[in-house]
Amino acid sequence: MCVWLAVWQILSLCIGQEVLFASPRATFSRLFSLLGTGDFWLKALHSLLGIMEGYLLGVCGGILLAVLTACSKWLLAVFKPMLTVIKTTPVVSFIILALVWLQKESVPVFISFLMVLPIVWANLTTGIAETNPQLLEMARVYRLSKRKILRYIYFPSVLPALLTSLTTAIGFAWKAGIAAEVISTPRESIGAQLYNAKVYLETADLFAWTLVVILLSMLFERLIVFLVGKISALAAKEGV
Amino acid sequence: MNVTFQDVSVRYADKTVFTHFTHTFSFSGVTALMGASGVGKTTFLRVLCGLEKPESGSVTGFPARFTYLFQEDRLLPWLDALQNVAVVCDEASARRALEEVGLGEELHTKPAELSGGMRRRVALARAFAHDSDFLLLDEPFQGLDDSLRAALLPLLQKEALRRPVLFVTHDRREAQSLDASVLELHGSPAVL
Repeated sequence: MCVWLAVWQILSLCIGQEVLFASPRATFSRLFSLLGTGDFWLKALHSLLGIMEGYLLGVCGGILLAVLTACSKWLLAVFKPMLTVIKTTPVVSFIILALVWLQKESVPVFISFLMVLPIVWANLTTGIAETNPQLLEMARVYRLSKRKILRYIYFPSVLPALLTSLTTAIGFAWKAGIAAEVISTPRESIGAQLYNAKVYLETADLFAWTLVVILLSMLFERLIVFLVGKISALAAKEGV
Repeated sequence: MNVTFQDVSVRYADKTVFTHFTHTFSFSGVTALMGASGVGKTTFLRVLCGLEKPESGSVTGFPARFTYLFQEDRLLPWLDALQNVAVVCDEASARRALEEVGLGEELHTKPAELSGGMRRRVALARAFAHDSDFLLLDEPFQGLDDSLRAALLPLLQKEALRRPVLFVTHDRREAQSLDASVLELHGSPAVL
């Protein structure tokens, strides 16, 4: 970390223009002054809630869709191309489309949702498809109920894939959500601040808000990893 | 219990196991299914109980409620021994079945922490604890030493009192000690 701070400082000294490349000192000074304002926390909270809302909706939607497409080949044939399109289309296209369809406050939520959904769906679908067929045959022979098959075979089989997708998706939700905010500029949001900093050439602001995004993203990734660890430990204890 | 194979043919890409196989079997007590490795003993069991559909022909008379001990243990790796057995019956029966196969001290041990022989006995306990009208066992004692085999053989006799038992074995002494009827498959395609 210290090495990279030194590199940053050297680069800013070499460039010598704060408007092009803010120094660590100017960035942290701006960051600390932001931290002292209620406005900062309000904007950070709005962004946080919007992205988390999209993330949770994406997780729930991904799980639901994975279950549905695992149960019906027809639904799989319907949804698979759509999810492939979502995965391969540039996120900015969706942001612009969403701006046409939705109120700008809802765009980051929708975009986070859209980024998380295929990740969770794809991981779960793979997990379901890779469930040991020998165990499923054993369940059929021993006439286990659907509830038992779900609880004792499918759920433990797909849990690692689900937990992996939760941690992968949080990073995507943040990156895409903030990008959506920058383009849609909802009034109380980090993305709007990034946009304003760019328009008014306030590079220290741009760096400071970017740092905030990185820190919040890391914080939530850690939180998800912590929760995932807790769920895994609980599942192991419960024999799942 | 009479089960009829009518004109049954089973073929894999590289091997014909049965061709127009027709026979009526009368199962009661313990029956041992014998034959050289690869002759089609497992295929016979799977076709008999309907786990595998023959290419042509039909099998009639086999009950819908049956128990099958697979060649692989097929235990749920995330559950302990007791939970593995209790998925097919109530906990008291599961506990009793595990105690009968000598695993009363390993009730809460997961499969990965058990030896191969112990895992086999958990799978056996699950088969014994499962209520059904027919018990099929594919090499039930593989991986078990002679003393354990000797201890477990009476359990098969006990099971035969409540349902027909058909088990695959390579050991003729096992069949003799159980006073079992013997079915022997020969050749390729297999014949009795």
